[in-house]
Amino acid sequence: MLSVQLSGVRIAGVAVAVPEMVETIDDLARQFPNDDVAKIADSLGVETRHVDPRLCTSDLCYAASKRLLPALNWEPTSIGLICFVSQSADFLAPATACILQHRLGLSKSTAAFDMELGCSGFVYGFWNVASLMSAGRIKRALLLCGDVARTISPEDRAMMPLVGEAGAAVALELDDSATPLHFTLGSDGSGWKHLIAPAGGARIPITQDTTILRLCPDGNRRGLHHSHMNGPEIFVFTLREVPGMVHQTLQLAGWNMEQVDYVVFHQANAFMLKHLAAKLKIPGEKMVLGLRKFGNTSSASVPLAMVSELRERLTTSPTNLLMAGFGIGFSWGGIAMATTPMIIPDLVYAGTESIHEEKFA
Amino acid sequence: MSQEDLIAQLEDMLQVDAGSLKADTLLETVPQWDSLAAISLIALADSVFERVLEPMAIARAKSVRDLVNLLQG
Repeated sequence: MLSVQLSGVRIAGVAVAVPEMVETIDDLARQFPNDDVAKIADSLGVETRHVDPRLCTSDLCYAASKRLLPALNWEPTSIGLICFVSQSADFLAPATACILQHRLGLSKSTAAFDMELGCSGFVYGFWNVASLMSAGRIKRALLLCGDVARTISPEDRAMMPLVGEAGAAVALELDDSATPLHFTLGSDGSGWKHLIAPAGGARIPITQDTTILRLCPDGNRRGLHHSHMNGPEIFVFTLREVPGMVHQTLQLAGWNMEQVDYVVFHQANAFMLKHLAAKLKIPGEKMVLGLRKFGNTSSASVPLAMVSELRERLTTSPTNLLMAGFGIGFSWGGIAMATTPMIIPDLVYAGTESIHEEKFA
Repeated sequence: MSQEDLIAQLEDMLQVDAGSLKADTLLETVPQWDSLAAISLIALADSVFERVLEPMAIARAKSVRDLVNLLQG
């Protein structure tokens, strides 16, 4: 695994926006009348998800940024870099980060780019932005990450109860007194098929045929433009790679588990997280579970858990955090860091007022 | 672990009555053997036997005996 130690960058603040609209287990029961949705929801650990088909990820990240920047007292023009991590960009092209540079009123001297990752996206984005800040002496940067559930088949009884929407804005700043960040990163593309939205790229262009729902081996019906998830393969990948990543990240930081205050993993599903906690002997009070109300929100899930579960702690006290993201790709990354008190506004609930008012057509 | 103990573990995992599964019970006749069950089986193998099962091998399993063989390695 790639191990990187970075100094001189701290998290100044985190804000997250979720759609105001909520889907409940009752909504699911109406959609899947012949399934035991209560049992599925209980296993996944998800009671409600915030989903709004009218909002894009960029709208959620925009809403989060608009709350965060004034709370930090940051002029938009003081930001030197903006990175948008998502697998639900506004368009195939241009980069959504450029559109957000425009919407947020950042200066033209801002570097803006997208990063296409999901579950591992927060850690990869953090590593990437912090590295660029350090190398380029960029004082302030915005890491925006998240996804919307646009590619889930309405007949997918594995993913519909699980996937929620969120957009995070993480403000990073240069600070010579910041405690080091310890990253480990890895990838295994042999698992590329096991979590995939196949059609719409260059390999399988969208045609009428790709939108036809077909029965998949797991009994769910999906079109090629929908996300396909092989739960057992992803679980096996997690068991294969995550324990080693955790050990390596802790070793890099010179920590053992006793020194970790909170463990914030990508909120994939409660069953897997509880199994990992038992396997890694992470005490229950340290293992953050934040997906009951929000579901699996992709790269926003770690920042969302920070906001929904750790806001009081992170805004007032230094905290040793072990965070990790693992999944689609396969891709994984861990970070061990000692945070200092940061700014975290209340969770933002976004509606249609957050939609980009300029339209293409 | 004996075959009987392993079958008991499977009954517990699937939340079916003790004694309701036999070695030659076909999985397609067990309504509780659903997509979540494969995940539970992987978890069981990991925590009790410290083995990571192959999902393809689980997909090929037709009977309770096949699952027992997977768990025993």
